[in-house]
Amino acid sequence: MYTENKKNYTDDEYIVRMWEKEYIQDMAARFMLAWSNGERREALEKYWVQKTHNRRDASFGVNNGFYVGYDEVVRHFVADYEAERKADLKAFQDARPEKGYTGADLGLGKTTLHDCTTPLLYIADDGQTARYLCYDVGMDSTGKPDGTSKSYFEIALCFMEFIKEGEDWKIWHLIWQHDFSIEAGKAYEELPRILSPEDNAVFTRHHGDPTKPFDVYDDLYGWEYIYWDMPAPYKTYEEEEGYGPRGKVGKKYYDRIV
Amino acid sequence: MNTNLSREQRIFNVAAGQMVEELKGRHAYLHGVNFGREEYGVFWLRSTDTTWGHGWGRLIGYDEMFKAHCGPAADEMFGSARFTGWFGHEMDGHDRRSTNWGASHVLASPVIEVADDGKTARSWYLTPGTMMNRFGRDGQHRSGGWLWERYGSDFVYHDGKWWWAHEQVCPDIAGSMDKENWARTMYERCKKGNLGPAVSAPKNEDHGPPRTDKATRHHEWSMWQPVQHTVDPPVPYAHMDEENTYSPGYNKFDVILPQNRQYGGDVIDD
Amino acid sequence: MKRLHPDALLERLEWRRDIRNLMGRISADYSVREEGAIYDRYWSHREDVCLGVNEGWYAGPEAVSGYYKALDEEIVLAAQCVKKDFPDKLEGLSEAELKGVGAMSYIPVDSHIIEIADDGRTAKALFNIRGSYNRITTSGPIAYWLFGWAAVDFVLEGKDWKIWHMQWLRNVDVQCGTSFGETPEKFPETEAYADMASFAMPEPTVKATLMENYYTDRPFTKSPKAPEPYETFADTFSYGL
Repeated sequence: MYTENKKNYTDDEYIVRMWEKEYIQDMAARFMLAWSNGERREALEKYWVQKTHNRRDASFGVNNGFYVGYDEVVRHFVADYEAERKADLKAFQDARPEKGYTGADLGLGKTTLHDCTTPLLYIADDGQTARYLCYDVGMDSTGKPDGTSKSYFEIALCFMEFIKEGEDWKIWHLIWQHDFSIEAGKAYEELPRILSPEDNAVFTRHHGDPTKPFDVYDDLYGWEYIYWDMPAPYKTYEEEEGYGPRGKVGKKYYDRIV
Repeated sequence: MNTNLSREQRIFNVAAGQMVEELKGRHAYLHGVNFGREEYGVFWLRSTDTTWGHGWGRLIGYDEMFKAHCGPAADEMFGSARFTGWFGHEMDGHDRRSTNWGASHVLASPVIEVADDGKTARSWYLTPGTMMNRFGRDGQHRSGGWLWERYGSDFVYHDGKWWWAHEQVCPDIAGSMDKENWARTMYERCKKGNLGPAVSAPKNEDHGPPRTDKATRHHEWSMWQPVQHTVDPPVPYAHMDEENTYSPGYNKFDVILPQNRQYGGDVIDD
Repeated sequence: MKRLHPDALLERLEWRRDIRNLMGRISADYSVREEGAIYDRYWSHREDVCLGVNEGWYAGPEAVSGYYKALDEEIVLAAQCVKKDFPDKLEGLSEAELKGVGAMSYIPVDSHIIEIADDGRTAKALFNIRGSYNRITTSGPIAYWLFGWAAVDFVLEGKDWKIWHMQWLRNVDVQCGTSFGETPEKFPETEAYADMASFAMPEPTVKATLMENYYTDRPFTKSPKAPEPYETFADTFSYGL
């Protein structure tokens, strides 16, 4: 393992480097907050890469593949979400016209938390990229017109790769490895090991139709590859070691041996 | 914060705080897959005063601690051995240590203090942690387990690196999501007059790994459990002593065994 | 990213640690049932302190300290009820030992966003709360999941950061074992816990709806705003009243 060595930096350089670690952690929290608040388009515009060549390589990974390129990230992260919220609102309006839901904001009956607990972060020695991992132990609840809700404790690993654009750090690649959707008020232990198509649809509802479909994460076997995938000290960005669609996450052990 | 420190000492202490976060984070993810070797074998202090405490007592010394986490008993404790029997060839090509294991003791509410002398650091965290599994106790159903604990950790600066020296785990509440109400479950157990086997912290001395100290205990919350100050957050301190430690009686780090050179030795500049 | 001189950054790195430590200590106090000490330990004693909860504001030192004092009184009363229910298990405990028995409160704060003013006199921070607690009711103990927010203005007093304004908001505060927003299971009232009926938190001194607990057709409700970089407190928004 390559080990970061303070002696490579002057005191002032080291202070700035420590400050950037704090800044990146806050920025990850800002992105997760905007995600929780349904401000998804703003989150991408504010915290994700801006430069054309970086946007071309931007990616959002989920269990069944990668959305590749900024427009594809928008399709998954923003457009699909807004379509779902419009359908939710229409269901309320159709079922309960007397309640005056006309004109209500999208997200009626919805609440979501994306958490970024247990951050682990390394900035490359060259200071141009950073790798970050957190556990997103959140929740997602969707109210129904009949007064019930579908509420889940949503749990996922979240890898992020940051890149510096000028003086600003931006999110370049993100992989959301979804572990569990546990329904509130129901006993998860009553579900079978292999989920029925109906229960599995609850689990996979966040994943959609990626640009580059492949088995990024087999949740049945847990974090088998986390020791290799988790951030570790590194010198400079290398595509095959990164969190993009041509990176290491999702590779099976036989593809990792060189 | 001691405002009398030199600029160099202040930089050192801020970096130490970040290193504590880093080691705690690496532990959380590696423990989540039962990769004991990759943490206890890599960034723990090889000292006779290294300790690891849980509800069942304290492992004393690096060797006892390492054996508990990296020996055959650890596989059994984490249940990996069961999977082969249950699933046979379905497990082929998968890592039995990590498969199914879902103990992500995520870290929240950090309190971190670095000694004025820069030789030790201390941290306190809460975990609102997950213990969910795809394979439950019978191998046929899932498990919605959760486990919330408090952690007190001490770190020692030695040979140019920070090493983990003491851990005190305090399991408080646990349950299964999300049909039950954990307080009612415990209340009903208490009303029956018998707590039965604790979910998180076996009270029976026969439970838990072989350990030197069976007396230092932390008990699971129950209706009649008084508040336990097993780990209180660290306060600003000058140097580690019996008042500023998570392992009273084990604060002499002058007997330090050879460290793992991969982590603690000279920088490998590839 | 704002560029400050390394000396200023070093000071801010230490302050960020102090602020996280302060909030972590509050979580610790909840876990050992020392909520009653939170005002004295962490709050400024300025006249313009305020604490916001879903139902309004506790404005001024008397109201804020009164809020935490009431939490302490609830803890003491609850322990007395638990002792009535389990006399054989709790007899012989001193008053101090008995305090806190019967309830456990995990209120972790996480996912911090912290901004310190350029003038170094104030700071702002937003944390999420993802906790669980057990409340002693007239039916005995009942556990809840809690998702919420702590949005805090801090002020530097001497060398110490103190809480100036805080919003402590419950987004989803739901009985464990219940789908969010749905009617929870009711448990039978028990004689040992009848005295809990006499307890009520003091009303906020300024009634306002800062946040509604989740219900299934609640209008979309965002977190408090995240802090943004600022020069001096007059240039930014307040988490206070």
